[in-house]
Amino acid sequence: MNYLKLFLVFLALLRCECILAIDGNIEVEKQFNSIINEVRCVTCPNQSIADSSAPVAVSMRHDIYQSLQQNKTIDEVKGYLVERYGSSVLYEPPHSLKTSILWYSPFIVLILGCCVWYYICYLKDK
Amino acid sequence: MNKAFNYKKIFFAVFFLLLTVMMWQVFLKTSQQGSSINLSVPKVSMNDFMQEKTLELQALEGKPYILHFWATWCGVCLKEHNNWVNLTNNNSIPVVGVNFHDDPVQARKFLLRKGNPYIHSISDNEGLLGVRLGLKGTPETFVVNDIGNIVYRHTGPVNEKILENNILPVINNMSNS
Repeated sequence: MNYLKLFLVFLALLRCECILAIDGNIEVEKQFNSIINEVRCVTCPNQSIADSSAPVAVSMRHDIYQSLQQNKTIDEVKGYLVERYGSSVLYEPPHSLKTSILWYSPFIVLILGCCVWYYICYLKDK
Repeated sequence: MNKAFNYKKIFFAVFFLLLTVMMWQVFLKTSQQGSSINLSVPKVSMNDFMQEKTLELQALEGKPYILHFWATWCGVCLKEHNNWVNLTNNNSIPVVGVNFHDDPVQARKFLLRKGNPYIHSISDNEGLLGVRLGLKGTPETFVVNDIGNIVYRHTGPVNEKILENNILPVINNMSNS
């Protein structure tokens, strides 16, 4: 009877370990899928590395997966890629002084457009 | 009235010109970022498929060398191959060939047939060395200084003009200093 209990405890522990292992992989897989859709292929910039079959994109996917398995965070992986390929490697470049024109120029152009439109429609006739 | 309107046109023209110049400056800065310059070559072991032995990349440090990424599936690489053969025939610059995402057997056959310009031919089957150096595609050439840092890179094929005007001066400057 005692042997049976021990065996059941052993099975339960084994199951816990399996669940933990699978959960760990699922977490890495989720992070991996999230990153590869946010990273631009450097050989064919119109595709993400998730869609691209270019050799460099394949290697980038491989490298990202290895980094995540080594418990690196998403930000660390992105930082590593930006250091090598520049911020344009990310579909959503970081908000910084260098990228401020990229992020805010559409609003500036919109405001300027409104000013020109206002001038043409109302002020010019007066 | 006409004069006032002209002033406004000039004001808008100058404003847009300044905006363009600013955007161009930002573009230049961001294109310089992530250019692999100053990255160091990882201290890893690679398979030298021509000499059939393991090569520690750290062992290459001590004098400048060229790291050239190529593959037999890359038509441009095959086309520019003669330039590298001529370069190594006329100069004593060490060139290390990195066979990227390729079959080393095919690469070995190609080099035996067309001439081998490389002091070492290493296989980067998984492309991890390439990604660590910020490789964008093949062919791509990196000039590495004596302490293993990248000081110059050239994306695309290399012809005699690029060799003489861009790559050789970088190496000669390092050798003289």
